[in-house]
Amino acid sequence: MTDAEIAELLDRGYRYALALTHDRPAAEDLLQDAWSGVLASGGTWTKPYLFRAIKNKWIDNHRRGELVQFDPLQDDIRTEAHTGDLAWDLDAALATLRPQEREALYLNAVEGWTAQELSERLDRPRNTILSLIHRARTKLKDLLTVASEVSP
Amino acid sequence: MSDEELDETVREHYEKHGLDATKRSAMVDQARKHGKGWSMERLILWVAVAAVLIFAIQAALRPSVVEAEPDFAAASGKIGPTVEPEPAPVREMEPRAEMLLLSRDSGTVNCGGVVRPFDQKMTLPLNPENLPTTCLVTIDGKRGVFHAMGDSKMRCDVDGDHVTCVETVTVPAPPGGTPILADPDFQPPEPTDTTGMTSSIGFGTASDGPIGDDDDNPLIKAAVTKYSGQLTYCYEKRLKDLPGLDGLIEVGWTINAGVVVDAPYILSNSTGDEELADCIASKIKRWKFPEDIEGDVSWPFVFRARQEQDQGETDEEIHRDTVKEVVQKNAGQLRWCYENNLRVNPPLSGKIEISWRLDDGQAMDLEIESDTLNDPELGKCLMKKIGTWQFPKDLTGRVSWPFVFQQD
Repeated sequence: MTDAEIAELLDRGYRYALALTHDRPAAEDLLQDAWSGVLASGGTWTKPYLFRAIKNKWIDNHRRGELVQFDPLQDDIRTEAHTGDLAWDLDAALATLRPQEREALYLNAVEGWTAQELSERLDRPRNTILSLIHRARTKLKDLLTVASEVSP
Repeated sequence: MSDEELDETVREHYEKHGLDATKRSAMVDQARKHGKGWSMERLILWVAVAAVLIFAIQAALRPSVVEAEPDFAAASGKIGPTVEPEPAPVREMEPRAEMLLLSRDSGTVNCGGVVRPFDQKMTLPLNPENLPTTCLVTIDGKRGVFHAMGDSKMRCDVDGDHVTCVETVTVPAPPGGTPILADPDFQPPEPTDTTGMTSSIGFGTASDGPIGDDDDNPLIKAAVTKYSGQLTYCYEKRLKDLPGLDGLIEVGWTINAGVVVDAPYILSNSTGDEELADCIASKIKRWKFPEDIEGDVSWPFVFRARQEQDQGETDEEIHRDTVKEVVQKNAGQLRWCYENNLRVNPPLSGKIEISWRLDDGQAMDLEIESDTLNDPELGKCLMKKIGTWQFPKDLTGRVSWPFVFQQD
């Protein structure tokens, strides 16, 4: 595996960690911890293995009450969305999603995993996955629409 | 905004984010320091290579247990005086040959001084150890001579004032092989010196060709071999009353679904002892064969006894042959020990010599005399197995036996 391939793998892992945490420093730490675990355990340097390690580490951290991105209050986000910058608005809107919703949306929209694949890899019912993706999209659309309406 | 547009927006959003270059570089270095990467392709490759290697190693390590010739010279002094000079039964595994004699008429055939009548067709048993060179056939007072040879078919017919015998048919092809043409210039070998034998039973192949297909013969032979001890019993029992009893008894029987139906019949008996023949027939009646075998079988058994003093066989030799039989019979147990030990201590190769005392058919006081394998566990396993073996109870004394283990 070349350095470029490893770098690409790490970037993808970072984005997935970011989808879970929605916090850049936390995503970096989460990736670092997971990557160290992969190396220490002699695991495969593949996306599924790394993603699984990231998810497991994130769950561990979640259980300890660390780095948990709790759902922010809707009012806070709406006030932040006033700038009218879509990118910023999207980032803020993504922050309003529950981690599970963000994860499902990320893996579906960015990584291209189907609902069935998500169901198998996340070990959740397919309908639950579809529901998470639907809710994530609906919330984002609502927030982005509001942002667009309030912007000058 | 459609779902597709939203997904595209989300994708673009995340694609803009990447790991900090410094951190990424550090993590790549971390990976490099950790050694080789286990990509999925590499993992599959290594698993495949490992599987092939394991298979090859297992094939290479498949062991063979080879018995070295026991050093009885060294052990001779250990053989106790209680080893009786009484002949121990030794089964003669060498198959006997036979030939088929055909004619349009009836007559007699004299091979090696044994005159046998035949009626158009007969199977002539020929012991390779004592193969007659010539046979005289008489039909209607006319005579002819032929060379008897095993596994052949000879047709004799009156030709003027003589009887002419010609070989007519080749031997059936062995399973999977090509037909073997009988050699018309075949000269039977000189009788084999049988010194060294005590008493023996020899047996040959079924006459009139094998029943079923060609593959049946080995099955029948295996069954006959299995039960031959019963015939040895009959023979030795009669030897007590009739010292010097020997000769050939040819027995015929019918097999149906692996069971001997009706009473076996005596086709010929050159021993002159009806009681021996009856004993043999009664034993064969109870024999079981593979269920898929049926048909008629005729089987010649040679019984031979001889004077021990004349043969020059020593007690040690009797002892060795008998012990060797037991060792060979149970070699699979030793192989198991060896294979089992290979799992924890591969690879093993060498010689281990174990001695034991024979007492009432049991191996007692087992000791390792020498061991180049240097594996105590293997030695223990071997001694444990040998301790369960059953030897003839009339053998006593101490035996020292080397076992050589080597990989194929």
